[in-house]
Amino acid sequence: MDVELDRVTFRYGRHTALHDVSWTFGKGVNGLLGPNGAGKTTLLSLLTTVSLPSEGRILLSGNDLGTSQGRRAARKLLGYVPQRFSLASEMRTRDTVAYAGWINGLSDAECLPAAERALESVSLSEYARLRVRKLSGGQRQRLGLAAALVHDPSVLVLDEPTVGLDPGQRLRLRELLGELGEQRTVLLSSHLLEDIAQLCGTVAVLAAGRLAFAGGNEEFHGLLEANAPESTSSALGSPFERAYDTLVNSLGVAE
Amino acid sequence: MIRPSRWPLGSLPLLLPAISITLAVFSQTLEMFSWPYQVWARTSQQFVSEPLIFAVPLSAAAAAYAAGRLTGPDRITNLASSLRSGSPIAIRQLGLLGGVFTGSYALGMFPLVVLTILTAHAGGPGPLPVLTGLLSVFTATAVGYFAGVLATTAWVSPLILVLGFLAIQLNMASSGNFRAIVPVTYDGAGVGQTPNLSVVGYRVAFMLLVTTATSLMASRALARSRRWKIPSWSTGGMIVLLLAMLLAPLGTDPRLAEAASEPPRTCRTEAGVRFCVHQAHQPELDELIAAAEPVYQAYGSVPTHGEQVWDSALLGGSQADSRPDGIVGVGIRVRTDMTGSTRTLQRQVGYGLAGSPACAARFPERSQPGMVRTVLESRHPADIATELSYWLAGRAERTSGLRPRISDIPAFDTASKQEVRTWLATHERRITECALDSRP
Repeated sequence: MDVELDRVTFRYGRHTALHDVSWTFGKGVNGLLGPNGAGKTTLLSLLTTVSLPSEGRILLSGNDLGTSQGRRAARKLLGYVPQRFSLASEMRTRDTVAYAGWINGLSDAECLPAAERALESVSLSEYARLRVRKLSGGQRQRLGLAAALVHDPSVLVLDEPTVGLDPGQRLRLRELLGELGEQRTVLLSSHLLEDIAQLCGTVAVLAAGRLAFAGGNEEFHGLLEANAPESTSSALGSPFERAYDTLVNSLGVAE
Repeated sequence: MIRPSRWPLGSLPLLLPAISITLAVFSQTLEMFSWPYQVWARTSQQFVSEPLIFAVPLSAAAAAYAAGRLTGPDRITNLASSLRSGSPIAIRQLGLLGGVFTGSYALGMFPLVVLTILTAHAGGPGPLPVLTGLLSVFTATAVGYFAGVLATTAWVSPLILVLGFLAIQLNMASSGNFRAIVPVTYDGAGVGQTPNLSVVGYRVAFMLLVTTATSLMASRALARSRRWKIPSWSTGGMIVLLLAMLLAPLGTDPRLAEAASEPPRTCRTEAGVRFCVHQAHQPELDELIAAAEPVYQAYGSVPTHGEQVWDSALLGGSQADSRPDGIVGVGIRVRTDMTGSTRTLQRQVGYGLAGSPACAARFPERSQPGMVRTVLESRHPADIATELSYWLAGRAERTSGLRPRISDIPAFDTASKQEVRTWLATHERRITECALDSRP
């Protein structure tokens, strides 16, 4: 399930949010890294068919997202967990996922069994009959993931999925995403280097709307090491993070 | 139990308003259950009367609540990137809400309809008022749903409830100028009338347009990740059309009903007087004859202007003053209080025999009688006719053994019964022309 961006540009009025971005990625967990305001969310809105590129072309499993037919076909294949999403607190966990199944194209008869499978895949089966308001932050995040997985999409797009989670919840979610990436094309957008570095086989770095880097994880590590500052005595964070900061600075964008 | 894929909010947001609507509607029809029989025109008209006062705001507010809870743009169950976004969601949710609330409205009206089937004497349901009533509930649901989609919060629901009640009151606060567009009306087609197709058609078209426009706009908003946006040309066109339809009838006095051309009637002649009632009022014929007889007895003869007594439903409903010559019009209301009914009928027959309809036509400024004392002291032909009507109704009241009300008025108290009758016999032409210039 390849996703191909070919010279994609996106403008809001006079502001160009994405410049000439070309990147191809496939099965496995793929990381999209960049500081806040780099254009990650804009890129995801294009990939999830919510917006259309001003220039260039996006193909999702061969479906051209520039055509309505292509977008419709792509939506069947897509699962999306936005950075900020809400849940109706009075709804039951299972009902939420079942309804998400219908929204994502399943027939009424398929929704409940699919919801149960999706809840099982994110280890929420025991909470199926619970009201959403009773779930913890991490469980809600997994519920969002179940809602995106319920129709068994081949491409899963996640925008900052670990934000707001405690270290334990973040660890569990990472494990889960790793498992999901074995079967699907997963695009993980994050500004957290740690998420990307530990999970992703390929990495793209956006800076000021331009693709500053796209390559394998090892290559990305190499780039980071090359950018590692010699003196770290006064800097905060892990050596990786300091290297990333230096990389971002070298690309001309401060976070 | 509804599948969660069809309705994920649980049964309460559907059931609670549905039960409330059914109970409110049923309670608004309860008074009619005490009537000895039902009349189809009245039952049909009830679909667009009091029951809507609660049903419209309740269904709109409940739909706004559901939309506010379900359709927020950041809901994981309502993402613009989903395969089903926009119209499939609106059709499913609005279809269910509108169906349930319209159904609960119909359910609340159902006992009255059954009772009417069992007890009505003529006619059948009026499809237009029934359709308009049901459509009003669906339209209110669509408007409430649209408001909830735009507001993205269930907190808009109480506001919609209040606005719904205010919209219902609009017609009453404006002497009927809004009757072509508001759901609740009290002056639709009664017995002996037919709906004015152009005005009722306008109402139906307006409600269909509101339903279509709000559903379409809700669908479009649901397909976007941002709910508010500058309207497209087509949306702008719909809004302009809606406003035009809203404002167009304001300068007019739209009539919802017109007289039926050949209303079915039942007639009987008693003591030289032909009595006719609308077939829907057939059980009232005996009472009408019994009530009118003492008035004619008081008059002493059957004058040419009173040879027939007709149910006003046969004369174009409430247009009793525009009756043909020789016919006394009486408004018949189905009621359980026989005494009140007899008294009212006698007053109306007395009014007709005294020539007061001619006075109302000749002196429209005096169509409402003044204070009793003023009437008795006046020399105006209309007041003398009014005094005559008091005398006739008062004598009939005594003959029927009713508690004195009108008979307490000292009408023609200086003349004996025989002197009044002699005076009547010699003044019949003046009575029919409203030209009385002396008292007996």
